[in-house]
Amino acid sequence: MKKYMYLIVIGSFLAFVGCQKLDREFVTFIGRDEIEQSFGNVQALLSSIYSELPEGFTPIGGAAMLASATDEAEFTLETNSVHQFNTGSWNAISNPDLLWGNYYRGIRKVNQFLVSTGKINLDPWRLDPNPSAQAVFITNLNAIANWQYEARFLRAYFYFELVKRYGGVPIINNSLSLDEDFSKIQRSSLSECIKFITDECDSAALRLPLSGSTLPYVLANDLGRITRIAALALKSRVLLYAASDLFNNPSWAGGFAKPELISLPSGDRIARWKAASDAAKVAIDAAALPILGAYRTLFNTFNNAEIILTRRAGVSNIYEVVNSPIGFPRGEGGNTPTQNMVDAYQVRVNATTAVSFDWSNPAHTLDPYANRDPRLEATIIRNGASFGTPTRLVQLYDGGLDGKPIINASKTGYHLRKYQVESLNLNIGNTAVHSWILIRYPELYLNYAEALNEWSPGNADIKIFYDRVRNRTGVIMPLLPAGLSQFQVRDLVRNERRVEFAFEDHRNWDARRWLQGPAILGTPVRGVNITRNPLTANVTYMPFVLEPRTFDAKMYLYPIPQNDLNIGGSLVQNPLW
Amino acid sequence: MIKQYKKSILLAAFVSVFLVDTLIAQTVIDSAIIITKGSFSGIKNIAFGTQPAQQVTGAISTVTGASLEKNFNLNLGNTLFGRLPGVTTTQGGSEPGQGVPNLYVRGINTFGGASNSPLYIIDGFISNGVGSSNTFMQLIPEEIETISVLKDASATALYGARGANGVILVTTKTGKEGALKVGFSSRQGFNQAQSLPKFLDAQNYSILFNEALVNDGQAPRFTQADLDAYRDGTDPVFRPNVNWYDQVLKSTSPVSSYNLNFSGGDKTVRYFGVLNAITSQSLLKKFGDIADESTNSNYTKYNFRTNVDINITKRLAVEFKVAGAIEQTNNPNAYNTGGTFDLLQSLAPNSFPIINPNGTFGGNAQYSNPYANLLATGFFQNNTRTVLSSLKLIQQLDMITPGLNASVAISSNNYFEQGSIKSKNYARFSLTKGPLGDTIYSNPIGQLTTLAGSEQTVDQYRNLIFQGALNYKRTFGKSEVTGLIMFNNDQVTLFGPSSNPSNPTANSTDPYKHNSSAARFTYAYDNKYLAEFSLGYMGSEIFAPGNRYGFFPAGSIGWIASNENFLKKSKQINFLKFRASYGQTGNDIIAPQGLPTRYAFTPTFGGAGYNFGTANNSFAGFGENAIANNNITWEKEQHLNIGLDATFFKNFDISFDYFNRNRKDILVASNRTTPLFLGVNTPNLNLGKSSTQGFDLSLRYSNNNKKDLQFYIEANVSYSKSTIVYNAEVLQLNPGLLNTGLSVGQPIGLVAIGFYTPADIAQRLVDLKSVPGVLTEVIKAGDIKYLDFGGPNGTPDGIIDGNDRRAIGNPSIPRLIGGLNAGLTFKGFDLNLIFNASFGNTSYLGGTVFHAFQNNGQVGPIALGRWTPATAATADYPRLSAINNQNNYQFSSFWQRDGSFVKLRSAELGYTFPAKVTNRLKLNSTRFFLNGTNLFSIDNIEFGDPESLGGYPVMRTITVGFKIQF
Repeated sequence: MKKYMYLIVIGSFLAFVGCQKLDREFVTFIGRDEIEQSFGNVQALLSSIYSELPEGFTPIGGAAMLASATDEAEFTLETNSVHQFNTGSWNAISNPDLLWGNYYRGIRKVNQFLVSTGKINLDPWRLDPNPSAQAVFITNLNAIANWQYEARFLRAYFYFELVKRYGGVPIINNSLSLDEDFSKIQRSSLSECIKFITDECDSAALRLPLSGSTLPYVLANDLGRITRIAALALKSRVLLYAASDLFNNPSWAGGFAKPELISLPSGDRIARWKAASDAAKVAIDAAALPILGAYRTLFNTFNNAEIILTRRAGVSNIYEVVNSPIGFPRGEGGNTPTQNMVDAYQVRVNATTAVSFDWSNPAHTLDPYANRDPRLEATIIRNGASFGTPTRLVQLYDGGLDGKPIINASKTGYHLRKYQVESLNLNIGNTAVHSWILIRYPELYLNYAEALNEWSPGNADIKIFYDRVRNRTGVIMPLLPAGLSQFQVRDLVRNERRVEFAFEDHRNWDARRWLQGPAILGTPVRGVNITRNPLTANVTYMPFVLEPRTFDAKMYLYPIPQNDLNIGGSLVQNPLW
Repeated sequence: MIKQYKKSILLAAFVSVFLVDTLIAQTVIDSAIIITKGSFSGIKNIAFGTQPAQQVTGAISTVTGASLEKNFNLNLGNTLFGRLPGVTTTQGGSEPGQGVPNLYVRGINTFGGASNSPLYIIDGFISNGVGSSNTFMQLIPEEIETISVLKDASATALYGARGANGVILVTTKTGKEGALKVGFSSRQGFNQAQSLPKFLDAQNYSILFNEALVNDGQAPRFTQADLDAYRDGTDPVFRPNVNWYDQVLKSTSPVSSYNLNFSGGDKTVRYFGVLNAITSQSLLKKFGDIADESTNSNYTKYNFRTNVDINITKRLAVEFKVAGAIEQTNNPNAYNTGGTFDLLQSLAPNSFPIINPNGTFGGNAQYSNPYANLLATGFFQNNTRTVLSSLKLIQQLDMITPGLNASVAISSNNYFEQGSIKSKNYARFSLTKGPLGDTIYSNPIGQLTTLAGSEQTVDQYRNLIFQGALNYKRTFGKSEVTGLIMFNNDQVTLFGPSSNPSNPTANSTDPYKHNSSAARFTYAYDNKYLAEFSLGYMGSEIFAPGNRYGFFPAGSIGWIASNENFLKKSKQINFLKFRASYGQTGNDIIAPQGLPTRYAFTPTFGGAGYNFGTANNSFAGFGENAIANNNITWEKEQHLNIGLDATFFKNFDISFDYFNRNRKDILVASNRTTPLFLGVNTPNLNLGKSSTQGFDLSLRYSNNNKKDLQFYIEANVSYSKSTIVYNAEVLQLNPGLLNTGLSVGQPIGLVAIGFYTPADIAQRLVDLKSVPGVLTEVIKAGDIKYLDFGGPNGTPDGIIDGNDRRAIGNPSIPRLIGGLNAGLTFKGFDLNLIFNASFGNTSYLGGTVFHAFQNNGQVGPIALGRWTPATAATADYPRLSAINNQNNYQFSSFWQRDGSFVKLRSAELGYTFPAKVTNRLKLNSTRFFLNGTNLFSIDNIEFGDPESLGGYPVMRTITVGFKIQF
């Protein structure tokens, strides 16, 4: 008997030792369940989706803008990876503008969010018979319904950011798990992607408030949320791209085996242009047209009737540090506008006539910056312009405070003014709010004018909306002359787009969609040599070819990242990569 | 180092001649001082038990506490150099109470954030802590019976998911049946720096600084009058020449220790007790003697231990152990001297006078005054307490079946470290010379404040461990069988820096828990054929439910060939055993311990919010952090070990082990297996693989023929090469940037190929990219030229940048290490020497000690070989530059040096009085000794010690002492 007593005692101790639970004793951090049940936490999920909207101030290498990969600008520091675009040394392994994963992260957040909105526990209000609680219950219920459409719009926006880079991409509308068979994921056709995005825009437009001040939105709290106009505007943009050459002409791709991924099926181009112009018109007509105010200050605000969608952010001064001329406090002189860009600004001859700038015209070269489109001064810092805090005249001539041969002085002879909050004193670390405008009204006007000119040249609306852009307070450039051919109008509309949206991340995509890669992205960029006679203080300007640029046909679309091709075995690489 | 090189050759020659002589002489006496037993007799400690050494089939190295007593050091880790084949000990600085070495068993076989530290087990219970808070480091040799290193899978499988980095097993001393024995020892001595960085004096600093300014296209700053004044010391106010090291450090600091131990017992109760005290001052001067509001820098450590064994009944025994360590460190200015040494390494000798003519402290806006920092910024007291306690009951169960016993044990280990801060500030003034030669004082830099106190918890943890075991051991005819089944549960609560003690959250008190059970069966037939099978089964709470438990099996076999008839009578081969083992072990510390990486199997949320509204109000955002990885698991290592143990000619022992470790499931960023379109930050997955091969060899010759002279000499060599087999890193066009295929810890940097010549610079003016260079600096003749390996396309592009990096040099952890341990006694005299060598590791000459004038630093003698147009052919240092040069001081092969060394880690000369004398004094024995630590180093680095090129130096310690027993 004693034998067994021992065994029982020992056995029970061993059982005690062996059976300790390994679970955590308490859980204090927030997991998915805690988030999904709470109204406020699900709202935070939505805020996090908004934060995936692109911000174009310093996207590449923490400093360069995508403009520096186009004929708009040259980035000063040669070590920035944006130069890979300019030398053509980008590829499926190394792409400085690799946002493929970022946008899929945004898409995944939306997919999860749409599931989460169904799990919010509103019982605390629903079960409370108090009328005020019931009112909150109804308000929250409506808010949740709105959130879903905001999120779906954002997902559509992310998809379009992918489509303009890659063509047809996999439409993934559930959140993948690690155990997923990634090799089964396939790219959707371009037309499926376009249809998906425009359908989502339609749905959002039906449901969402017209503007940030339309109930249930309250301007003070909700400015910046997705509106009906934003949904209509995105649709306009998408249909304009869908009607443009790139997506209708796969000939550049050299017999690509899967043309449906990079091109729409051959069909009625007129109908596509009409759809694009109709979409733009619907967006334009959705609300009373805003007055276009001052151009310079527009880019330092987030609260302006002209802005349809802007990527909001907190305060910072990185943009000013990166782009201030080298001679200014902390200035790094990063993105510098090219002579190509400067030359695009017209010269106003008189109230009704404007001509292109011409270096062979002695009247122009004598004083290159006289009588130019006022948007030039608002966008670009040229030699002799005033800038900064404390304010002084910029000296970009050789030997000047901001000029060569100072290391990292501007190579083009210009600096970028747009978006800079000039009142910041960088020496003492002043900061300001910077928001990156994604869609503003003039885009709708020019979308409309461009599309209309393609299928209905001579339509009176073309002039109306082209003129609206030029007739802005403080700009007042001569209006569209009568009697121009379709081609002449096309060129003017395109140049207007180039000038109006300079450095707003349109050029890169417009060049591609117009199938003008070699002419716009592959053409050498020029700068200006500025010399100053110290005796006479006379300054002379001499343009020069700064840098050849590389554009091969394959670059019309980005290569799918090699890593994802390796893992997702069913993905097809874009042509010629 | 050159002088020491000669010294050491002489000494080495002396030792070898002496040993050869004695080999021939074959004269030996008996003595208690030298361990005369061969390596393959007696009892060896293994996981959760012991085994006859002859029958051990795993790879285990052992050192006794008695032999470690021959090394004197402030922490236990520093006594292990060269002692244990397969263990790499890397010394940092030896600041009292702060500097402890890192130990690695058979190299480092993991990478990323996983722990590469071995598991420390003290008397069967796991111990915790890292760095100086590691309980193991606080033990003293006098309380240790043996330290065993379990290296292969068969030895460590019982520790399951914690055994893969090797196990360091400490057994403490216990009382033996017999009369009370009391021992007392004491030693007194001093520390000095083994080497300190050298810097140029004010005159030479100024000459070189002028040259650097001219190189940068600026005017020289110092006039000939300045240089003369620096040389003559005629203007100490405006042209000071201060050796700041001399102002702050003394040349030697005293150290002492006292030890009292007693043991004894009878059939019922046996006891062992020890009390130990060590005190050491640091090299800082006695600032507390100068100013009340500072303190002398000192370190005190008290150790105590009581181990009691009681036979309560014939069958029931109790083992009760209580031990602890109490440390107190006092330092002026800060907890440690890191900031002081950073300042000393930067501050130029002519920066400012120590004390201004009006009695205020000198200084400038950029640099504070190190002397004043130590004198007038208050002081820090740091207290640590460690308590280790355990109680174990062992019940013989002969009545169930003979040879069976059961045991249960409970252990609690605690560590607490508290800091007490008294801080204040002082004002310093920089001086300028007025137009009339008068002295103009600047506005005060810094403000005088009064002493203010605060307290803080620096670190703490506690363990609670329960164990139960069934042991079986029996002999059936020629068969010997043993069995073990054991259960272990431990809970470790960390509050340490890794869990952010200043901001404790509820999770930081959530204990790390392990459940484990283990079984071992051994079989020996006729003491010739050995077989062993071990199995660990372990669960850990940091993995997802369902993935917490795993099996860790290992098996080994052995053949004692010398017990076969054909060898039994051999005179040449006295013992010969072959053994082989194979098994799987794990490492469950797959990421740094602490909250951010705990519970990686649960999804977490956080991240960027967004701004809405007309006031740009910021709204919190919740985004999915890295996807939860429900399958996260421990690293698994397959460890093959093949070894042999042999004794030839009675006195010559050899032990050789070859090993092959293949580890998988190392937690790495999963860039190669998760696509970007998954749309979430890539979770770390168990994808990494590594592989390590190597050998451990130890040879021992001992001569113990009971004559006047006896001696032993023991040499060990260990080699291990670890390779990253796979780590799922992102694709690179420049293959040199991939870590896969390289050694663990392989440095990646630029390859220097000499200096730019004036012709290079002229060519660059024609075409910038025809001679590759960086774009961040205007390159001049005499700058370091690098090899252009790659560009964004993977092909050379004429630009030197991050794309041109590739593997350079070797890891800092040596692949080949060696130890030589020799001892002899002759008529009461004894001598013990321990050499330690490291080969093939790379040291990096960085920071202000070696990079002249960088970060407003000073300049050392290394820069005297600088490039100038005149010395272009012989220069071994780039042209000087007074501004931060973006080209020359990049991480490159230029600054790498062979870090190999041979060091005499410890030497002890002793004399034991003859028994006739000691008996008259009623003593059992009396011994006097002279001991030295880190006496010399042979190495290839001209300007410092390869193990400590900056910061608090490694100490050379000389002590004398005595030990009496009665």
